[in-house]
Amino acid sequence: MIESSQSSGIKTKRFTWENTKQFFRDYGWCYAFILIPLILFVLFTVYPLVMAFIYSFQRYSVLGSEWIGLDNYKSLMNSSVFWTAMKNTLIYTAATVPVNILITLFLALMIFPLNNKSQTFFKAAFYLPGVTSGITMSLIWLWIFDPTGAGLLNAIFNLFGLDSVMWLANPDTALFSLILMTYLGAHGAGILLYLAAMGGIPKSLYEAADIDHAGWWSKLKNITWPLLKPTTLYLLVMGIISSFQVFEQAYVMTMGGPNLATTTIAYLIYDHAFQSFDFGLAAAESFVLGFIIIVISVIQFKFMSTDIEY
Amino acid sequence: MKKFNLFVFLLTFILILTACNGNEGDQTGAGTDSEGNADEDVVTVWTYPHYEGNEETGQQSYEEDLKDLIAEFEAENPGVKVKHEILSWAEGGKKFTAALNSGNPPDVFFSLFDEKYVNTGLAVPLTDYVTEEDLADLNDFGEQMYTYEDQLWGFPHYISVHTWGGNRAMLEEAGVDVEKIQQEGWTWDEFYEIAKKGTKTVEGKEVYGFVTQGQNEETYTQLMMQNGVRNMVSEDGEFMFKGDKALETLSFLERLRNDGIMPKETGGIDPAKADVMFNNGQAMIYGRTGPYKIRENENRNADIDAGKVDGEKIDFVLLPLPHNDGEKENAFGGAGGLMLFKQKDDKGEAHTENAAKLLLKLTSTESGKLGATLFIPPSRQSGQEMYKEELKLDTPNGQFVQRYITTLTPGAKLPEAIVQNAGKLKTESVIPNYQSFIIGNATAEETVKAWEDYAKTLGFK
Amino acid sequence: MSEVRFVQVSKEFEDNNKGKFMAVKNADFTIRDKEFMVFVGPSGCGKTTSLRMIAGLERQTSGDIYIGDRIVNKAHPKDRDIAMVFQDYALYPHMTIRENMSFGLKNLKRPKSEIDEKVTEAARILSLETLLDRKPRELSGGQRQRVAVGRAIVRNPKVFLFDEPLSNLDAKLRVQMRIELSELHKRLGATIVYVTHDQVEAMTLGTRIVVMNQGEIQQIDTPEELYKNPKNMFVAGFIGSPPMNFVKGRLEGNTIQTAEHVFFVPEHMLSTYKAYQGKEVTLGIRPEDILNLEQLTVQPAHNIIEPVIKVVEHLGSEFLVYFSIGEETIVAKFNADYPVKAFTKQQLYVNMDKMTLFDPETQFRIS
Ligand SMILES: Nc1ncnc2c1ncn2[C@@H]1O[C@H](COP(=O)(O)OP(=O)(O)O)[C@@H](O)[C@H]1O
Ligand SMILES: [Mg+2]
Repeated sequence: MIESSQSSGIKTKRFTWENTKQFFRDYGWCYAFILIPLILFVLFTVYPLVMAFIYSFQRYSVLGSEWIGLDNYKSLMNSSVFWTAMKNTLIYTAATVPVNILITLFLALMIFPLNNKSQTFFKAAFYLPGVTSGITMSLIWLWIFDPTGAGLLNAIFNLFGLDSVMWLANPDTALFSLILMTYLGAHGAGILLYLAAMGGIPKSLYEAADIDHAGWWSKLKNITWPLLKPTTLYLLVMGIISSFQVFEQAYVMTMGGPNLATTTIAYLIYDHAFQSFDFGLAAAESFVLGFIIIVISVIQFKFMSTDIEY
Repeated sequence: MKKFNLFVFLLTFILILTACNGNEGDQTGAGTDSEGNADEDVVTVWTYPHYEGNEETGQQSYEEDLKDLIAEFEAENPGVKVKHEILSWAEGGKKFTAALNSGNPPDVFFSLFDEKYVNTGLAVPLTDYVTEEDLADLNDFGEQMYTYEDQLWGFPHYISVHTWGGNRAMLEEAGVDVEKIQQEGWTWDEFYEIAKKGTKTVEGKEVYGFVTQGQNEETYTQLMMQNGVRNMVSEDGEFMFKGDKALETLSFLERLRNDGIMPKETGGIDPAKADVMFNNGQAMIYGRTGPYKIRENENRNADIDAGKVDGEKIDFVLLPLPHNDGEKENAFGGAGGLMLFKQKDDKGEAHTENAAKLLLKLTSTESGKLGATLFIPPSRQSGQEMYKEELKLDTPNGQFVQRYITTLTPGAKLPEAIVQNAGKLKTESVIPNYQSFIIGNATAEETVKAWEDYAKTLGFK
Repeated sequence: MSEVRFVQVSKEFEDNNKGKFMAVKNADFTIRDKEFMVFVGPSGCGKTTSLRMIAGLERQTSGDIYIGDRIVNKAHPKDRDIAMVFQDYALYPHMTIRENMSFGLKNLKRPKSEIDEKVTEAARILSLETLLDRKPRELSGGQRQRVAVGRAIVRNPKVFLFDEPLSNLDAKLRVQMRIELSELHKRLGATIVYVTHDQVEAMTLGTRIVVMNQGEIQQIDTPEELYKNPKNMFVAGFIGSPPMNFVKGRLEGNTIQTAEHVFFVPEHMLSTYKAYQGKEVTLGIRPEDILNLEQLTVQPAHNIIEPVIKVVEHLGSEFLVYFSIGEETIVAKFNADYPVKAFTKQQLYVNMDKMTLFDPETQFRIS
């Protein structure tokens, strides 16, 4: 009773100059704090975005760009390389994101029941590779993928009497090799998120499930997995967004080759901007990529979002 | 792997572009210097850490040598201040590209010649600033490399030349007269026979007659030059990697690979790996390399003596690329030097003149040290004289370099209209299809056909 | 037969702060078939632990537990044929009410028709029919509580375990649910083990009650017996609202001498207390056994006191009156028809026929 009368009291509070002044006296600080990031956001995100959009309709030149309408968009739609890059990016995304989420979940499930000390150890062990420099990591991977018997993978293959594979040099295996790198790569951040989410599931749910005759698989499938859905969705969206932008692997390991097998959209954008100086085309490609990412993200949130409350 | 966020990168880049566009109306500032003294002209130079210092030998790093030259320059030119920046080899190119395309390049920048720079309209020809003596002193090839549309766009520090290299002990075991090849060259067939002799299994380990990188089309391109085809695309827009010449060259490589003279994994071998294989004694001949390898090899041998490195010492010899019967040797090389730029917001004639003076100071005879230290021929005759000790001009290798750089010819300088498509042709067809070819996924015929078809779609003859 | 039997069951916890710690000590009892057994005691006394040991969610450190004729010491919860309603209900938040209730049967791979039938039946009993397709968060506290009960009854287990199921509800709803649970017990004819810290709940629901304190069982009896014949001061002080008053005194002949008063013990009781003649005793008087003199039609000869009333608390039909005897604060419960005022002297009658005497040392009732 008391509560409802209070809340209606606020609603009926009249909007007056005095109130407004009081409001800003009370909350003005907050706006001052929001203002700084807002300005930075407009300056460093909105403004360049708008300008990039304009460039995508131009043949860019530093001393005077030329307006060419939709030519950049047309030429990328007609470019077989663009579609190859699109296909590569889609394959890469489809093959990395779901599998990596499952790997991450599996690792988190293995770590979760451990005591605090061991948990900390494994969290660190899985997180640290993520902060190692990309160059160091790529050197290791180049050794692993070495096409001769000197490489780790081929040494293992040869041990079992299999022929060496030219992992990164063969168009049939190059993209797969980059995908493989992600499977064995850093799952640390995802593991931390999953562990945190698992810790947030009340223990009593599992006890209730125990009493409800649920075995470990039923508990995983019917309790853990659905309750981790927000985390999974987050990892899925972030994973797809970042894998649509995959660049560094293709740049460091294969330069987009062989035979364009690892040319991703982001690599193509880089190539067009920084190798060909074709900034208009690169901007157009960026917008196509950005558009696809936004569409996919919206679809995911629309169809998969849940609001779980314990 | 650390995430390299391309989006952020592009956005930042575009931000730089746009931020500079925002200055357009502000032309009144032109000519005056925004920082420091109003009557002081600040000239900027961006270059790379060409060589490191060495405490044991007392050798200064490039940056220290550069500072010395700058100090001299500032003393000679009161009122001019020089700001220098040493870029990283990995990121410097991108940084310059962004700066250039946003209209704000440094006045002087270390770079190989690139038509795209000229096409931005911000490169400034040196023609009006060089003296007769400078030009007379400059190696012809070096001059040609920076000449485009009858203007000189930069002044080289050095002439770099690509060679192959060999293991003298192995070559002599195969009965080869190394000095004769160094002085007279060799044909593809002669090379094939020698390399074949060098291909064997020693204590269970494969030794190849020849090892080269197969990640891109470089080896093929350089062999095409030894088969009478200098350029992928000619200046009048003809695609040259076609027909019998192309087929012949690819077939030569195919034969080397199929006969096991060259590893069948060549497609997966990068330059670093080829170098390692050579050092490990897994290759008699490898390429490409260059004169710089002489210095590297000396250091390696010294390290082995000192027990710092495991391995066999190697007596390294430079070798020319073999040429097809009836064709001439044609070394591939380039010139590394400084190019002159102005800004979109032009700082005026006096400023450009100061920048040009600085450029010439930094590429003067003394700067031959840059080449000499790296064991690359300096671009000035006077520089070669000054550093002939360091360059070992009296050894067979040194004499070979002297001879070999005379076979250098500059590549085609493509007109603006076809530069971009030539780049596309290379990255979207020549390299990708070559990659398929070298690992054995496509035949020589199929590869040439694929190139020709793609060239046609891009409008090449 | 669904009886539950504890034989010398103890539970020891390894606690980071307290070290080894006995949560339940030598519990020994039998819960009979179809009985509504309530465990009551202050927070932390080991009620939940006892319940969880029945469920198999906690393994006893020593002793044997029987469900029916079977020793279940090592049996997994699912093999004990029990159902449990948790204090926080533990409803699966992502499942609908229907899914929540059918989860157990699904795990048992029962045919769909049977599941539907059972869920519908349970929903009908608990008036949940219209809520079956909602998620738990769309339900009120009372509805959630019913779902938790529904989830328990669909499986038709031998024993139901309830852990403070009403503690999250408001007072009014609590009274209503109490009645519903009582009815449900009759209707299902099942054995129910019910944990609460609220003695009123215990008294109204339990067929029998187990009173626990600090891991030890104090008394197991029907509500009436607990009220009339508490075994010790703890039970006496815990059961009844407000709790029994205690006054220290000495038994002299047929009187109890306290600091300020002399109370006369009824003749027929004296033989019981023979052993305590001349010794210290603690006199226990329930608040309802102290009466306003005005209420009485016959003036009694003894056991009248005239304290100054300190506080008067109105509870509607009755009110509580606080005053002091020596250092003890005493509370009396009066009928509202005879109001008294604070800060006045009031003549009160202590009905010694209903008194209880305790040994102040052992705290046991003298009997
Ligand atoms: N898992 C546990 N580890 C350590 N101590 C526990 C654990 N569970 C309960 N206890 C302790 O055992 C005692 C009894 O707890 P519990 O049975 O939950 O009491 P309650 O009667 O309030 O339900 C408490 O002191 C509690 O702190
Ligand atoms: Mg409890």
